[in-house]
Amino acid sequence: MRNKFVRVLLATTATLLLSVGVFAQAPGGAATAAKDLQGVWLFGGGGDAFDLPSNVPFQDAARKKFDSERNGHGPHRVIDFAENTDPFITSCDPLGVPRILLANHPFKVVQTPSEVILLYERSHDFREVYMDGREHPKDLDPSWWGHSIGKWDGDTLVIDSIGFNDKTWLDYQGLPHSEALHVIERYTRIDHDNLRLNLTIDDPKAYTKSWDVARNYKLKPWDIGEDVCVHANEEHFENGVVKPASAPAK
Amino acid sequence: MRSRRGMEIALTLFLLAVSGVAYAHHGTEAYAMEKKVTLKGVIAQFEWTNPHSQVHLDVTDDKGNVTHWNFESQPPSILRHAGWTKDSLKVGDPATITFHPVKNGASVGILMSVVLADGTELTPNEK
Repeated sequence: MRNKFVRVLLATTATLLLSVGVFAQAPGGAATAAKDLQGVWLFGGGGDAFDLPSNVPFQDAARKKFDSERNGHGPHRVIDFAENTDPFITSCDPLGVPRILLANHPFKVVQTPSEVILLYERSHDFREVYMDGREHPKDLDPSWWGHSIGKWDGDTLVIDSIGFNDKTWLDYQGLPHSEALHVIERYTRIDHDNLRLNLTIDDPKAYTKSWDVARNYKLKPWDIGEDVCVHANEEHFENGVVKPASAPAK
Repeated sequence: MRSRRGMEIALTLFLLAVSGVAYAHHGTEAYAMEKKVTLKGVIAQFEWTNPHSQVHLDVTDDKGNVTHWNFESQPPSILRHAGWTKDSLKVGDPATITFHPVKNGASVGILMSVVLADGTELTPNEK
């Protein structure tokens, strides 16, 4: 009887200690509250982060545009930068949304009472997500990053974004979009170390219906580094690697 | 035993898939990703830079001819999580480099690992 009591006491104590340990791992000393997504997150498997599915519901014009694109990834691959049409490669254009979500670089979530700030290592870009209850402005000028508002749906952060220009690709293989692009991101922290993104892409001028994609991210004990696209660096890489690699075979 | 072999094959395929993803920014179309080559030489230059760090290796053959190789790797922001620093490689360091070669026969490759004289191994994979 006494032994049983000791075993129960030890088990309870161990459970309590483990619980404290888990919460103590949170970045910045903050407890892992359900609505706390703060920290640095990196794509962690569950599909190819670089591309959205290629069996998307194209409208004809979007299909033609996609078929005309050439880059180092996706179904229309080229080696030579001279043939490459990827605006991120040729012009160092901003990746925009949702393509930034597919990069193999971490991003950091910062939460304040009135907004969520997303800091991206790739291109050293950022987004502000307004959490103060405002609506999207009626007269948005199309922009690289659009306009984002957020709210909590239970423990899921829902980010609604519109107001994009049509110069970015949706992903690395070259899926196009129009200025009517509407992106909904649903982030759920499924446990301390794992973040789930359910992404809805709706563009009634480029696709026949909206479609959903899911991605997983892992918590990392990292700082955000600097990974910027600079023309001089791209040219140096092109001269040192791409041109010799794309020359006719010896 | 058979299932363990299956696990090993699955793990290898997974790692290959992951390495493909990691380099997909500019693409891997130029490379024979199924091939793996190892060369010994000396570090001629180490460029710690975006969009891809570059490791240059001079390889001397039996007749004394020197071939200059250039290997692309990840940018500093990713390599630092794999244990690299800007000082990881110095000009003149003897090194053994394993890489995926380009398809056209040029002296270019995607770096898989560098082993230094003291046995230190550097890879682009996160530690």
